[in-house]
Amino acid sequence: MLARHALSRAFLPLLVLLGGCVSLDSGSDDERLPTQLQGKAEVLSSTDADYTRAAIGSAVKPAGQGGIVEGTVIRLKQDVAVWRMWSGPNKKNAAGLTNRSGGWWSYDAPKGTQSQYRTAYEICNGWNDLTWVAKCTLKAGSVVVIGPGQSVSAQTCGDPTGQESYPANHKDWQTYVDKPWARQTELVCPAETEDYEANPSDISKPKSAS
Amino acid sequence: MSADNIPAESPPDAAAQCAQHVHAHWLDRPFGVIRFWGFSVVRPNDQSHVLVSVLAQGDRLDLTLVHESRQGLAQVLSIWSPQGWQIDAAQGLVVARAARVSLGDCVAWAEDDTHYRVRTPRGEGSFPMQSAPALWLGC
Repeated sequence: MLARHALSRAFLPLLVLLGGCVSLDSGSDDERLPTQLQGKAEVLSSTDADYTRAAIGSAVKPAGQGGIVEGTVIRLKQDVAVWRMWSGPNKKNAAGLTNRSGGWWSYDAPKGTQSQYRTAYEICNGWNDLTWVAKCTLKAGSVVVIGPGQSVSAQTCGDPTGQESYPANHKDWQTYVDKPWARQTELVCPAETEDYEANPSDISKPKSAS
Repeated sequence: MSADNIPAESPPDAAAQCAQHVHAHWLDRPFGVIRFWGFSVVRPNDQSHVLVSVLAQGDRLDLTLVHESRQGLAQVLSIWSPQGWQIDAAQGLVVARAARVSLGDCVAWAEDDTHYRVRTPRGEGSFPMQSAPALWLGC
């Protein structure tokens, strides 16, 4: 069975107000895709041979735990640009790795302030500095999961003040690419030098341009 | 009860038994979730790791993990006084109770039967356990 939006029709007016970009009706793929992906992807059913490699079970989480509320597995029909904010080339974890690559991406270019982006995509401060922007390409044929971001609780963030939490977001959907390091023909990224350090007050622009 | 389920009242050599079990059933299995009680040490499923070795030292269990891509250095996740562990193909590795858990600069410990405390580079705070396991390495 297809993964479907859990929102009931009662919430449709609210959804339209918030962005108006998703139809709750069953029907063609385009009617079930956000406008940004209409014509560019097909929705896969769970019986499709490609469905399992999207790993939808890794993307969908309970309330408070991040990930997405529920997911739709799609296969791209054409190349699609995806963006990811990360902590920059000088921030390495204990393993000596940066977080430039990872499972969570967006098909919308970053916009607004750094803080707005953090809230929109439910990213705890401890997980990602959100200081740099990478733009990569999901190639035609890629199989990924998309869906509205799940809420993140203060406990999940480990915020000692108990204040840092994020609500679910049905407007700015997330894209889950399972194990991108093993799918380099599906997710193609330019050299790191193509990335830019974002202006925190307008992350669509490089810091140097401010 | 399956062979992978161990009773909560573990014997004094619980760490050694857990190490043996993890070694037999959990090495090289990828996981994207690392939680200390309710605290998610990493963004869930943004990265994926595998355990490459496990060692019991007294009542402490040291799990050595590497990124699933095998890039980067190994890290050690330590669990003091692990009790009630469970390995499940769907859920992953769960340790119901522990005195303390650490990975890098993130540490959590049981304050009492109902609360745990977390210390990260961002500070330190107390949270209710809410029946969450002390450690969850999930898929």
